[in-house]
Amino acid sequence: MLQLMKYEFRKQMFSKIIILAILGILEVLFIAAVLVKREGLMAGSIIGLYAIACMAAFYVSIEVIITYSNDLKTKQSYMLFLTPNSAYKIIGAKVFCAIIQIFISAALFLALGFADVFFLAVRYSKVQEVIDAAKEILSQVSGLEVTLPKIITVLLLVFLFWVSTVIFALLSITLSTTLLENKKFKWVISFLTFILINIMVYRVIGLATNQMDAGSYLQFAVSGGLSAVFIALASFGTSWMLEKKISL
Amino acid sequence: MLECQEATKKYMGRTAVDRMSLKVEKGRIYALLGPNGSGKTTLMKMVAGLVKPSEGKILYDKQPVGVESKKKIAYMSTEPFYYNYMTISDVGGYYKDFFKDFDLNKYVSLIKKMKLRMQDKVKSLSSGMAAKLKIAATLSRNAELILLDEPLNGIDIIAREQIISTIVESANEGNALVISSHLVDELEKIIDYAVFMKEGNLVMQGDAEAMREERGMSIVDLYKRIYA
Repeated sequence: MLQLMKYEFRKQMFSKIIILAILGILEVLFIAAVLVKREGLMAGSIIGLYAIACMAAFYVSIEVIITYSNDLKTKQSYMLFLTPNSAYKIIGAKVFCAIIQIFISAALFLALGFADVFFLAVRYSKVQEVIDAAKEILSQVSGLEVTLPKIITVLLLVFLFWVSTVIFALLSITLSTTLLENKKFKWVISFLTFILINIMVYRVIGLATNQMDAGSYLQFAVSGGLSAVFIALASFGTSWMLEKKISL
Repeated sequence: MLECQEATKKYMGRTAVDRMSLKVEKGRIYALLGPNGSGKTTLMKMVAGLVKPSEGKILYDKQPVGVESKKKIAYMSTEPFYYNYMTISDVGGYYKDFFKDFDLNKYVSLIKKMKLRMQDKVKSLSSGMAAKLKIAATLSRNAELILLDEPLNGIDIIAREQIISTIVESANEGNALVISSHLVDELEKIIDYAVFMKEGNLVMQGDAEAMREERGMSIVDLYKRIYA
């Protein structure tokens, strides 16, 4: 599986280099602007960093889906499916790569954001004020007490929901190229299936957690656990369809 | 080694391969003959494990084709399929990573013979060069069963001789080659067994020499008679 993952990363490496290069340039601009206290440049670079980080985070997920779609719809699919690996291994490698890429991107962008805010605060000698203001805003928005463990828990939960949406997309694409292979409107049906799966999953999670205290660790744990189970089920279903009905 | 039992593949109500039964044994070169759309590619893809039969079975060493058979079957598709970012050297690395029977030295030597350069990007190759690369990579595997789908497509008339000789050099008592083509003239002199397909059906199959003797005509003439 490691070999499969190696090539999976390699396929998507170019875009990551571009994203990192753009972020690097903007970060250098930002640091320079802070050091020389050029507020216009500072604001511009912050907006640029924020916009690029948001777009890149979205693009990383989309690229996982596009790469998978190409792997099934173009002749490049032979590169994977001619190798002596089961569909379970191939999908497993893709899912792990997706998780790792999304996690690293999210962690990198968040770390960069925190580092920049911290740097800004140190430069302007207002570290504690900035942290307190951020906590206050988050508390008012979420209606919960904001602590570092809670922030990390929420971020992990968002990450799991995000990964599950990507994996459901892979499942829907597979559906259209396997079980629905000979059906008309297969892309419409698979897209509707994608929407339906997402609605069903969030409803199930909602039903399972609606009696729990809002914002409690138990609620987060159950939501996260269920998301992980749905990710595993969707990965298994995707592999099973490919194993039984592959048609490239 | 390979046995197709009534293998059938249907797409959207159209039957691409219809109840195909065929046995392939080691030590022979098979020609899968027929015009475009006769089902040759679909049959090869089913054997390679890229397409599941709608009905019937395809067995390799008495087991349904799958992970184990892919270790022993080398398939060269008619279309280019390598990743665009790859160089010719990367293609060799990829095969080495996934196929235990891949001989990197043979690959290097075939690439040199085909006058290709290791550092060249796959996406920058002409169709003829890309076809040569596919052949070099596929024949560098010491696979038991080698499936070549239209190996002469895109190859100029001068290079065809070279390709044919490379194919023949790869044939031995321990393997079988199945070559699909509509360029029958080129295959006539190297094949041991001919399989004629038409509109997904098996029209005729048999030992090439026996066919020539029985019918008093070459495989090329037989091809013309069947498909004209």
